[in-house]
Amino acid sequence: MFGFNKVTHKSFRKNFLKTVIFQIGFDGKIFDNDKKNEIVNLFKNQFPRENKIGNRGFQVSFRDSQTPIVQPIRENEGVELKSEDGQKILTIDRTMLSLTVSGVVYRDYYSLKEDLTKIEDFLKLSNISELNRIAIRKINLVEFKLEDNANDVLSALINPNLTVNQNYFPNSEKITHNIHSLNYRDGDAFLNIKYGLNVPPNTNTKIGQILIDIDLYKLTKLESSAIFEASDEINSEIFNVFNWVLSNKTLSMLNG
Amino acid sequence: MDNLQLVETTRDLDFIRESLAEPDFTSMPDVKEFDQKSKNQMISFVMSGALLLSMPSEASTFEIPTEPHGQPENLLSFLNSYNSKINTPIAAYIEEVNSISIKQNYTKREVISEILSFKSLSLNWDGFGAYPLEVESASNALYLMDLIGESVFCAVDELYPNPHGTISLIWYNKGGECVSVEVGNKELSYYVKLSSKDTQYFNNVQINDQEAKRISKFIQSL
Repeated sequence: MFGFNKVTHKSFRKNFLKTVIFQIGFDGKIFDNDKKNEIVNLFKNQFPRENKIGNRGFQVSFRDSQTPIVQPIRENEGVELKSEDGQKILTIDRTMLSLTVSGVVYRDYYSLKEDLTKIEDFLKLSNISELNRIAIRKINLVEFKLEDNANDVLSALINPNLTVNQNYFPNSEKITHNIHSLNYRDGDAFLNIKYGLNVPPNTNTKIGQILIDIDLYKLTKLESSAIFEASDEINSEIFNVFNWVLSNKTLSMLNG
Repeated sequence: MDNLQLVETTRDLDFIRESLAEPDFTSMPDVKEFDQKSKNQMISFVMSGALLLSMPSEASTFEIPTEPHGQPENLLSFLNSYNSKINTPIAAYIEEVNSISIKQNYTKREVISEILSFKSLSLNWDGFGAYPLEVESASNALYLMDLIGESVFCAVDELYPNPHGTISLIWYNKGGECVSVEVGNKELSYYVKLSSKDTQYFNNVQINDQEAKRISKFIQSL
């Protein structure tokens, strides 16, 4: 899709995932109480907790250029459902369905698809035959104790071709953010890659984070029957990008 | 070069256009006589090139102030545009990363300070005969923090003393779900309120590892 080397997909033994988001978009549908109740019932077994939306406005600002971590929805315009353990959030509104899975419970892409088994029923229920957006975003965070130079950790974990200039930064042990952002576009396919170092403020123990955030989405007309074919392709490319970003050392850690 | 789109803000930018037609910059007649205006034009040229090379396709909407003191409207427009398209999104992204990784309202030190401060309250601190926080209750609250772990415990949203000498700790989310714990001298009690489920009550339970694990799981499910 974007020219990254193809890597045979496999599931790693370990992962650094913090959050995985799957999202589809469609043309606006009516969302009345009857519809809401039907949707809640459809997903009740997997997502038994229905959050009240209340008057909280938008949690996260939504832009077309990025897949939101949790889809913001207004009162009476959608529904937010959670799994029993709260580690999976399904939000549905007039134009979007979004599943956010915490890295704590995320096993692999195939288990994500299992979570979405009811999605085809949902599309039929809502008379949606065509999608206008499909997205997967995976946010990896490698946390480490901040002892010496956090920037050195960046150089160790990320592919050296991407960190070749790190020695040029003066006083690199004082760096708190060293985040790189790449945005690709190929027709109606968009890829946002962010990788780098983040030192969060005000934590009990000084920690640093190596961030790898890969967001790939397509703004395209798509038959709802082809949803998983499209998401398979997106997931494969995200895997290619992920392997491209990491150093060999990190890849062997994930396989270990 | 022919496809470069320049944004015209002042007449000085005509100079840039003309300059681009010249293959050899140094051959221009007025290069040798460098007055302040020429210097500004040179800087504008360099800046415009750097900005155009580095920015995405929206680059053509940026305006470059060549006379910062003469045309404040252009400068403001540039700064607003820079802020909304580059500066703010970067800051917002970092904020977003921090919010999904660190859910902490207090540091450990702050929690300890708060709890100890309740111990310092005088008798009748609420005007209705309230007792200050009992030593055992304070100690049990700190022990509970050790058992649950700082990263989960310090996401607590509220902690406050109760009139009968115990301490309450509440974790909640924007959906109205909450875990509320009251720690006493010998035991603790708590309830868990999750959406679409009956409230679960756990009264007079021992403060131990098993119970702490259960409370921690509830807190993490919010």
